[in-house]
Amino acid sequence: MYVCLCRGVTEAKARELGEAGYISASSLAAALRLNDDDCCGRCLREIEPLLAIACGACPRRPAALVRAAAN
Amino acid sequence: MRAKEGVLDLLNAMLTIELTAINQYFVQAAMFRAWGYDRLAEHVRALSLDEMKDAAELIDHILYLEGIPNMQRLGRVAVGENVPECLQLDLETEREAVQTLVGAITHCTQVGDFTTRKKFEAMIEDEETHVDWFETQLDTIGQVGIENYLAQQIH
Repeated sequence: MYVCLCRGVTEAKARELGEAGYISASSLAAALRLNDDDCCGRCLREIEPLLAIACGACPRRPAALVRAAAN
Repeated sequence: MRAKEGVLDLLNAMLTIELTAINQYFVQAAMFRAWGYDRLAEHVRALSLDEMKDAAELIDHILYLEGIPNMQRLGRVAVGENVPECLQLDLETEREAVQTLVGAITHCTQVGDFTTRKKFEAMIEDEETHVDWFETQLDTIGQVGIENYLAQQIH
């Protein structure tokens, strides 16, 4: 599905960003320009699902660690 | 007429759900048409218009109860990348609407607002038929396979 409609970000794109090392809320927001005026800001306020997908795809960060961090 | 405690908040919460659904179905219908699934597009577009009628009713009733219809707030517009994903997201949207309406109807009974309750009851009947329709589509896909299902949506 589309995780962000303003930027047309699909789950695949979020995984791609995760693989490239964008695994913090601030780096994802910067990469996708979620702070810009033409973005509704919802993803910025509720960034967890986007972050979870990106982290899950990051080779440097195993999924178990991501789950532990989320709990 | 003055609204009873909590009723305006519930009407506005429901309005948010309707406004979100209008957009969600409208864009999905356009996507389905762009992909060549005209039959499916037509049905989903009709759902969008159904929700618009519900929204109009909610707006009128909020004003009648001397409240302000909140047209600013919108939920997350859930759009899938393919047909089954969209249908699954729509089913979740409809289930959320039904759940909100169940709570709203219960509250209206408690505070004795039977006029608003009647409106919510009419809406829940609609939303339940929508839930049923999406469930049927997903069941059918499970039975005949996505290719066969989509082949039936082309004309």
